[in-house]
Amino acid sequence: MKIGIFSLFERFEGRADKAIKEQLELIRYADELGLDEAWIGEHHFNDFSVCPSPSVLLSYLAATTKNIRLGAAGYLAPFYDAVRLAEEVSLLDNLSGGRINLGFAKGAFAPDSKHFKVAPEDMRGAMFEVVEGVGALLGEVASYKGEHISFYCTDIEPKPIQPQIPTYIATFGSEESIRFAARHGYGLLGSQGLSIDECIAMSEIYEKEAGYKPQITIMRTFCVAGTTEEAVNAARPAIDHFVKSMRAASSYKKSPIFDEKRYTQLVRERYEFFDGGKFFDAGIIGDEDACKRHIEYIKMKCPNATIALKPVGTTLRENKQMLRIFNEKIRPFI
Amino acid sequence: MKFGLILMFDAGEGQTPATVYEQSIEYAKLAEHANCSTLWLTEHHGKRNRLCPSIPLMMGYLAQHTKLELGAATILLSHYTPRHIAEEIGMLTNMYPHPFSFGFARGGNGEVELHDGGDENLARSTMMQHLDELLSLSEIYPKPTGSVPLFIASRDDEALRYAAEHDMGIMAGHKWSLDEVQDTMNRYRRYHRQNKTPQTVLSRYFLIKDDNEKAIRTVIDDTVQRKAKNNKSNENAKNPLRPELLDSESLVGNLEKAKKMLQKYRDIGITDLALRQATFNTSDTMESLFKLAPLLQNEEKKQ
Repeated sequence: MKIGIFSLFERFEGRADKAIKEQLELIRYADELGLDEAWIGEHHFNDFSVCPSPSVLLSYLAATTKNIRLGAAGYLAPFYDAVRLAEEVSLLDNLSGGRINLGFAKGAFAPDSKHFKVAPEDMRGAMFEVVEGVGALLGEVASYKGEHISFYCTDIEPKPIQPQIPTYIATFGSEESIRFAARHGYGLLGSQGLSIDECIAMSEIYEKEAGYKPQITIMRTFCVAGTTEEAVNAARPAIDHFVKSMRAASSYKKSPIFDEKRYTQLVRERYEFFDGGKFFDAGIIGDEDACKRHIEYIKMKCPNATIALKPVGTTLRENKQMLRIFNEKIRPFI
Repeated sequence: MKFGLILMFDAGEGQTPATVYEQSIEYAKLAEHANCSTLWLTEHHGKRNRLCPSIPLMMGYLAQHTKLELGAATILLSHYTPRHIAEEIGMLTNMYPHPFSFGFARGGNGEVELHDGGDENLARSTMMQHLDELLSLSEIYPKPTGSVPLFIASRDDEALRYAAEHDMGIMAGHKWSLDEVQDTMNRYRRYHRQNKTPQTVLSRYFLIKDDNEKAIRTVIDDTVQRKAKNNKSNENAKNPLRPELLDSESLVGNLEKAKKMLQKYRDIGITDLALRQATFNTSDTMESLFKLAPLLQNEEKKQ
């Protein structure tokens, strides 16, 4: 089973540059450990998840990593010019020696829609066109005329190294997106909040359309500790803060300030009725055995899946430690 | 006067993109040895022999291999969503300690043909509209970590007025005569509320050989030959060269000529000299840079 790392460049405290550099270092560490894939999210106007430009982050990683495959999960396709994006992807494929994966998402946050001037109801259609357009441009000379994008007889340079860049569509379960991916032979990216049952349902829809099961990369929050209770307690502040920050970012509110002491108290008080949301429920969180069992379960239910771990420590040291434990104590047994 | 090397990402015969990018790292190291302070990156689209379609990405890559300042010369802003460029600038300054600077232009003939149907006015007005949007964006995160010098490469009056009103620098191309450069700087001064002389980046061809005429002939032959080989890439290039500028205003020739030229550039108020390869012979370029290095060092000491 392939194992990757997923990063949203979260800033729990301190300056944005520190958060960005630490996450880049964590991905370099994942490369050193021999993880298979690194996936980077895209968020705009967001002071918590600081990754508005996956391509720039990937250009750094192309220069600093050796073996790990690199991808955006995903490019918010409706906000891109297809020709420019194809050029970026192809350049990255060259700079990384052919290690690029390509993920697309449609975007869902109100500020993005406003600032990039794409109406929410047009996002999915625009994403489909940009994905098809980029796919065509990564091949030979291409033309495209759609409702949202068009280009004529366009030949990008440089050409990608990989004859076919593995392409994935991110979805929370939209049948339209799953069928679109199935028709084109693309894989699927499942969010941190999707349960395994939902992933299986997605896979079945895909199989009906394509005649075969999809490649699915499932993002999973990850926290390993000495005991499951310790892991649960360690994971809660970061997940809780993540959920709040994403809720804020999807509206026009400012992200809340991360206050670890306050969270610890809150978590204790709310232990019995804590709502960490689906991100928490679906996460791989526990002691080493619990993590192994969880991954074995995913492997059994979704044999085509790759798991992209999102360590939920709030410091680089914690996250590195969790990846190291995973690599030494969990990975050899799955 | 600061010195920099322009990277064109040229693919010579038989070169793959990988070798072009490796070579750009070699050039970066060479530029450091030759007392340059800046690497200027260029952007081209759909050209088999010029392989950098995205300057911010190439900056993100090259910053791992050099400590030099990284400059964009230039981003063809009419092709981009201003928010994406603003976000990329913000990210780069947060990721790296390097100084960054960004020049904007409408693009050469080939790019204008490709993107704006050959309409130069449309390309320029879109560029200006995007620049205005870029400068007025407030909801961008992360914000750049410090001030980022911005430049416009244009002789257009409206563009110059805009540059002066916003305290931007200007960039002068290798095909501009020094009279044209001075005229541009003068107009900028007139538009500036304090009659300020702009920070001016001047691009000039360089090739150091003992025989001036032979050096110029090499550049002309090389350009003609290359144009013939790359019809696809150069079909829209109207004037690839201005031979009279090579003769009297470039760094193509011997060191004595180069010395006089550097003095001339300094006298007219050039603040940044961006050296542009005049031949596609890599060893000639590298050798020329080595020969120029002591001159550049002397010039820097005069500051």
